[in-house]
Amino acid sequence: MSASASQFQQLEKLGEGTYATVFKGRNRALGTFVALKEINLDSEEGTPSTAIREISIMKELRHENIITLYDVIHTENKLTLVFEYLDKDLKRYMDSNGYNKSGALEPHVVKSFMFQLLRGIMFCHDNRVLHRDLKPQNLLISSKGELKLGDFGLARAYGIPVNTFSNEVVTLWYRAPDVLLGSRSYSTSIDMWSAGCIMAEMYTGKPLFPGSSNEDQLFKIFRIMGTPNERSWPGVTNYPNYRSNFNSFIPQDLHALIPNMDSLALNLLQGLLQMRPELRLSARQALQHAWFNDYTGNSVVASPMHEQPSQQFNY
Amino acid sequence: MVELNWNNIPKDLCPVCKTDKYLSPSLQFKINPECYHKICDSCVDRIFSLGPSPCPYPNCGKILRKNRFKTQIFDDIEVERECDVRKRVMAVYNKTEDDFATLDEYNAYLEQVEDYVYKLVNRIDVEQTEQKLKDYQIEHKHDIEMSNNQRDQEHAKFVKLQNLEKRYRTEKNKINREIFKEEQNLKNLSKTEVINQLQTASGEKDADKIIANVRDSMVSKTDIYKQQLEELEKNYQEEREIIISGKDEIKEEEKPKMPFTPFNGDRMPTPPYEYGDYKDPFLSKMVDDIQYRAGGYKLDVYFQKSLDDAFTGLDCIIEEEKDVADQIMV
Amino acid sequence: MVVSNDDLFRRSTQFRFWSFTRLQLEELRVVANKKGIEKTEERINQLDDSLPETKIVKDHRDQFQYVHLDEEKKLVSYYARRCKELASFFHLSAQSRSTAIMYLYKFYLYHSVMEYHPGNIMLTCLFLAAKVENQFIGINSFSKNIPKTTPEGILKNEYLILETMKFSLQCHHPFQPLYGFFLDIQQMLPKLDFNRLGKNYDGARELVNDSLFSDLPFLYTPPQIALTCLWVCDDVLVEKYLSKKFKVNRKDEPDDEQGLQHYNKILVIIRQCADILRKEVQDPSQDESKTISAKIKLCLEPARFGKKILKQTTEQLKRPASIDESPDTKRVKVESE
Repeated sequence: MSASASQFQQLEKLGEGTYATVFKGRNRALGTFVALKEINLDSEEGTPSTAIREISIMKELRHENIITLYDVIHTENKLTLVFEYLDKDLKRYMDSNGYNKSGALEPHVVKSFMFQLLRGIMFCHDNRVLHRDLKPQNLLISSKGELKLGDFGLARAYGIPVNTFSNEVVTLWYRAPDVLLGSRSYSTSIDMWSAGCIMAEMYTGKPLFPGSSNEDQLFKIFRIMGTPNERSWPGVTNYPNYRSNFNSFIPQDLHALIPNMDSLALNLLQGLLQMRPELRLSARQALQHAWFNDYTGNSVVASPMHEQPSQQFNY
Repeated sequence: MVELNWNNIPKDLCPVCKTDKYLSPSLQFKINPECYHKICDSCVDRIFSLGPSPCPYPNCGKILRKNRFKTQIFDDIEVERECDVRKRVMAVYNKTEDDFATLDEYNAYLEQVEDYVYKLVNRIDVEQTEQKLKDYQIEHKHDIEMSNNQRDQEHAKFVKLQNLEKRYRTEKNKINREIFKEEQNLKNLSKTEVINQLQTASGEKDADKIIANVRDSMVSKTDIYKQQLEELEKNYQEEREIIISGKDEIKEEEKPKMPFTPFNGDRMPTPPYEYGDYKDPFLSKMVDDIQYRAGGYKLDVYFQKSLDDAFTGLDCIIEEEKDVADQIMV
Repeated sequence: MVVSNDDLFRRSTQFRFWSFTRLQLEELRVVANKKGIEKTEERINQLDDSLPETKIVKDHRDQFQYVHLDEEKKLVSYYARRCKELASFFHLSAQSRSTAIMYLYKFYLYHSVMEYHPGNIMLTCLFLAAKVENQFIGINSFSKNIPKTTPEGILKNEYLILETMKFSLQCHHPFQPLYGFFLDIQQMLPKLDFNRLGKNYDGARELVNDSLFSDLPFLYTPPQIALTCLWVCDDVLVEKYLSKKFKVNRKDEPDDEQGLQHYNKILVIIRQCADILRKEVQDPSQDESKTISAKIKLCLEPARFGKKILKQTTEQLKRPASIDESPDTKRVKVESE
């Protein structure tokens, strides 16, 4: 049995997603809030593949750091995904909670968010799902300070090596250099690069590499991380978008850019922002980093394991 | 038109395309350590972009590669050559004083190195010397690599120390500036404050006491800063020690590898399989393609996923588990 | 608490929604079949009474033939086989192909062929599976390559299938686990002849493809099916591998007690699984499918049943010589032409 559209009262518009419009909604019977993602079905190809992908992935992923999909409602010409509702996305949270209006977050908040972000990513990767579009706008923050991954519209399951993933994924600013250089055989490492960019942004309140085009994005990355060459990154010259006339920059000290970062955090950030994808930390490795020792300690964090959806939704 | 004299090429002229630096100031000359004949940048691009080609100088005949061209550093081409030769020899003869038992042995070694350099620079017994160099390189391959590694490590250590010192200096300067500012501030403030307090003081309070109070608070503030400074100094020395002793690397390896999982519980500490060397003729062919590796694609990841999948649900007996689940639901 | 790989599987929708005991599976199909019969009866009741055939249908109700449970299964399997061929035509991967076939079988756990003809549902399943597995085919080129279809006709059922799948679209097939065993056997039995392993691996892959046309994917987990397929190809090899893995049947050392239990447990599963693989893989003939399809046609449009009988009786009146022939066999003959 599936929920019907009349069960929800549609409230204000929350945003326009990649392929859908998101509204705030209220469950009439319970008064609780939900996020309603409306997908138009006028496409000539039936249900859009992005929607199909998002639904099938969200059905498998149940984790406290990932938005829960409660239900799918079908009406005449649209499909509505009923999601768990959270107050703000990270971008808005930074705008309103950062100190001195700079958007920068307190170091202990950054640590908590990074920990939750990495847990969410690791759960996805454990389930063979790449998010591919991690950015502050897709990370939702609850009033209790929980962080959850949302918008899996570009996510996909991975596995077979020869996959020709399109390289038109991930908002430019958080896109990994290997993807910008035209790699089509990328894997979990692309999400890790995005996590690194987000971490730096939380410290400073400003995006780390705000490029305006593919080329500009590479330029901005090279200017800080150094221009790669065959020696620092074997095989880099074979990428389709590699140019021998790239401006050559030497790597900058990240600490000078983000002075309020302690040395452990800096070490983690460096592990995430590795130019060579195979050298980038995995989510599991990142969570084992000493920076998180106060969370991981010697014992495992104990809290209720199952994140069950609310009662009113039947599958 | 005057025929070019190849034996006496004007200083600012590219002998290949006859472009003059006087007329096109952006002209850049390149040389190749094979023959040290100067050629302009655009000629290098034009002639050697498609692969190795012979040097355009008449009667030279050396085959040159584009990636070996470089900008001349020294005006005197002979000096340039000597530097190159020296660099090449030193890359092979890279021992340090610590590698020798006595100073005499080390000196003898240096003498021999100088001898080789001299011979190569002055073109004496070039072939023989080159052969000796090659033999030595083959014979001491391992030592040379070790030595190079060591040098790399030392360099890394040096960079780390430099970074540490830089950070230390900026911190220190910051605190010192604060102290200075505080002192200035308080100097000014204390004056007005004392006057204020004296004005508002009822009766004949002890003026000396008030002045002492203000001074105390001033001192205590700078004291805090001074304490911070001391701590910084101490931390700096400690970290320096760690880097110099090379302990920071070991520390990283000894870190407890606590498996952490998003399930709020532990995944199996060891997988139900031992990771080994696997054969798959089809896949290994593909993975030899450098493009896959550069893209971060690792065959290991694929193997691991398959192995994980092989044991994901192997012991799940649906007939039993689903039966039980049914009863619970009812 | 330790979360094992098996627990990961227990969290998947494949285990939660799509794994059943034999009894549960049978029950689902009985219910679906009953629903099909009820729907057909409804259709008969709703026939226009003013038409002459309606009366005949209602008079001959006892002769009306519903599709039997076994026939449902057969017909679905027939179209599952066609689905496989069609997937190969579109050069789809084994993953997409198998997913499409599973959608088809899953669909008919909750619906009857007397409601929706599997020939149509199969096309939409394939189109949807290609979308889910990232091998998207445009609806126009998809439809153009299949005679007698329209884009609208294929898309019409998409949401119905999505809903029946409970929106859980990810399928785990035995291919990847089989490859995992192929690797792990290399590690556990280093002296094994690689060609022997390679040959049996290829054979097992074929069997995995066959296993889809039985109930195995609902009753057993992908690794169990994978191991069974390998065992059917080379039982000595698999048993040697498992002995080594669970430390049993060793020459100099006694059996590991836990290992022995584990070993026996898995071998029991393999034997059960292999039994189904040998006996229950379906490949119905075209004739069988035609016979069942003809029945469905009448279930979907019961008025045709009346018209057929009407025609037969008028023919009988014209040629009274062939009275002996039972109307039943004759009808079948007419329809299968």
